[in-house]
Amino acid sequence: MNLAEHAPPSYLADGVTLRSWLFTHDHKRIAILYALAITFFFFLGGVAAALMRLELATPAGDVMSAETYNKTFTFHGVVMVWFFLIPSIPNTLGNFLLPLMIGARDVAFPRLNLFSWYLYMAGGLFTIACLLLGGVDTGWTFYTPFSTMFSNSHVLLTVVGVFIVGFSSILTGLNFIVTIHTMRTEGMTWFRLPLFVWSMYGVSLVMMLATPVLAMTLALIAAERLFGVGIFDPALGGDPLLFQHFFWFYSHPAVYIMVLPSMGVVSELITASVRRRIFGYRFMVYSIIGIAVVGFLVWGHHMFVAGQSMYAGIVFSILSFVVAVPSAVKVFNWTATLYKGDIAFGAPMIYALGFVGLFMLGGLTGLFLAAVALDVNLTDTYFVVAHFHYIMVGGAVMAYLGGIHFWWPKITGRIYSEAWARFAAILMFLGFNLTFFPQFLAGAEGMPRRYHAYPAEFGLLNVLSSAGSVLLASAYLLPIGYFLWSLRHGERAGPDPWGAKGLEWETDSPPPTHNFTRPPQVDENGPYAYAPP
Amino acid sequence: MTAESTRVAEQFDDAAQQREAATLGMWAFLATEILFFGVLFAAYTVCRLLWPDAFASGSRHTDLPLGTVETAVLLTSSFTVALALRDVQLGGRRVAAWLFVATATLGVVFLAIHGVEYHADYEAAVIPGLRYEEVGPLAPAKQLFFILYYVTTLFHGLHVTIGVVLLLVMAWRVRAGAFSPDDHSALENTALYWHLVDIVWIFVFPLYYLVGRA
Amino acid sequence: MSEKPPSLRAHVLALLALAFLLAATVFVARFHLGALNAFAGLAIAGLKALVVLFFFMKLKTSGTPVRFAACFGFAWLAILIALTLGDFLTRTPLVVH
Repeated sequence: MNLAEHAPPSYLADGVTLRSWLFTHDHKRIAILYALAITFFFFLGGVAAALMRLELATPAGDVMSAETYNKTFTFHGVVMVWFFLIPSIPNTLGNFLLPLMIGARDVAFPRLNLFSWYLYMAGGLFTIACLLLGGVDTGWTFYTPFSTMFSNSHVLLTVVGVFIVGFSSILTGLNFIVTIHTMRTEGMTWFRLPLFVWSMYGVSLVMMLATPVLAMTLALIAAERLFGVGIFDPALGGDPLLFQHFFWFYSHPAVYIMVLPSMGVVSELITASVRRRIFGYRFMVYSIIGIAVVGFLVWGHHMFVAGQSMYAGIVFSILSFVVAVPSAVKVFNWTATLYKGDIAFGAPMIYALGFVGLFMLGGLTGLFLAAVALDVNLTDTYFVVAHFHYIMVGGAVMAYLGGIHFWWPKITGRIYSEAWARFAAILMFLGFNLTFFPQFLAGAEGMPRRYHAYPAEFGLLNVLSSAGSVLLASAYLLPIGYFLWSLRHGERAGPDPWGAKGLEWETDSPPPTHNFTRPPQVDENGPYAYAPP
Repeated sequence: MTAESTRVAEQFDDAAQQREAATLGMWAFLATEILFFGVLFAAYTVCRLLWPDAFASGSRHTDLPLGTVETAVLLTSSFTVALALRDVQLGGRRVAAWLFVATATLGVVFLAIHGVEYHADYEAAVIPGLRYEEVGPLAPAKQLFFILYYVTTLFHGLHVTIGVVLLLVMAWRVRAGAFSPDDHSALENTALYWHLVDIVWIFVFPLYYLVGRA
Repeated sequence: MSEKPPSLRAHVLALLALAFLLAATVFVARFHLGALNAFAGLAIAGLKALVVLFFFMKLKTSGTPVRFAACFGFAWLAILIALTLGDFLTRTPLVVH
């Protein structure tokens, strides 16, 4: 910690009242507000998952009724998608790091940033209210006509909550795009930006272009719930599939909202752990933009068997294969970066490697699903469930945790216990695979998703999955322990405990409120300009 | 360039950066509005393709003279707000304030005409979910037309209302001397928002008022 | 540093252009042109929008990021409509054996 007499206080020490936190304009404090909130929602969604795995441990539906199970998986999906995964990296790590990484004092619109957090909390309140009032049973996908005409649960309350949190997303994206365009410090040209910043740019594009479509689609559901008539009603000549087109136009890019930031984090973790430039920086940048753009062209692969035309199915299938290419480029480049490298295996690196392997598996199984002929058999089975959990949990959550570990010293000024962190990371990797790999097998054997009971033949695979979930849950709880411990007893961190490149490491840990006490110097050699060994 | 008249927020390096951020931010927001309303236009496209006769029939129910007047009112309001901005850029204050008020007034006129239309629709019983008494083979699909008509015009009307409030606030602030030729981002952004509201209506008009009029 | 705004005359001309286009679109609607009616209506609306965008909203003198923002909004809407229509326009009736 900087003990100089005239050093400004760290952002954590700059005001200790509740008011100074709830009315802050500081992007770093807002990041922490988000981190606390999303951790709460993660555990809420996790409890729902635990209940599901408890039910599925036995073939009989003996823990809860089918209706309650429907509400449980709906709650799990809504909370995890909109209140955890989508905001996780952008609103915590993105908020904290973006201005630091580009050498700025804050984001372009700090008050809008705070307002975005309040919108998130308001949306969360609606969702919790829905839970307390009895829940919603439509699945997080709100398919019509069930959601609009037949469900007797709290659809309106939930869609209002998601509508509100969607605007939190949109405004965050707006803030980031303007910040990156207009507030880069002297010398920070576009192709000297760290890949994490590029991933924030890509994710912001997606958030801004996709989320408004979700907002209006939810408004249409709300209108139909309120007035009893809607455009998705077949009796009027409407088409329920129109809803699915609109919903997936947002929800497919939404998964890229979850994955692009993860990829940005992983690029930072890998370069710092192997102390090398990233292999193929420009191609990594083009891949981020490529994923962001092409990700908008594939949504129909969620509707192959829903009644979509075969020709549209073919087009969406081909495009779904195309979108895998930039992701593959990134996996190759991370691997090439590591080739013959001197790798430090701290917890961040373990998470990064876990991401690369699990994302790859999840991504490859996505190609299975993109093939229409295979999808006919695999859709709505546990194969799909396993596929997206590999990417979202094995991928995005691990990248998020890796990032939290890597930047923990910068955010809190403390070093966490490396031994416990490595243990938790490895336990998480093992627990994750035990939970979700059997689900690929169950799905391939034909076990359908969203059922609370299933034929006895799937028993063993489900027992393994539920056992894995116990390990996984334990692994998620461990960081709470050692992180909290580090806040009191952890060794204090200097500006750059990892010896990493990047403007965020040129200021104190934790940084002062306005980030830099003197203008940071941008390395002309670009990001990750590590000296050769 | 009078530096003292431009308040630069602490996150920005200078007034130019602040202006650039405000403009880009506003345009980024407008892009989201295009996609927000765009869903309704996409739904319209699909439904009209499926039920062209029902849509033509529905469109004939709309009031063409009133719709034309509404369109003229909004187009004129874009003109007045642009002139208001021009006046501020040339150092003006009083004329600009009155032009903002005039723009807001035109917005209110637009909403009033909508009120007249909605009332007539209620009398004619063509409001699905509230009072819909159309009969005949086209009647079910015509509801799709009217549902989209109301959702679109109500969301648009909400945006007009917000715009009117913003314009009146800006008129007040202009009169109080809060802006200068070098520092009036809030006015530019209000004008941009208003022009977007106009553009949405520019597309609503032919799609909802001019179908099947031959 | 603000640039000089366009003249009053230019503004009036823009309004007159919009008024003319409004009259044109109502006039054309009265003729039975089949599918061309929709096309004409949308094309004229597009022209009106371009006048508002380029003149009133100053896209003509704006920087590249702003122009991209404007483009992206419309382009992404075009993607939504195009690929959705790609489904609806290519549907074939179910064959019942």
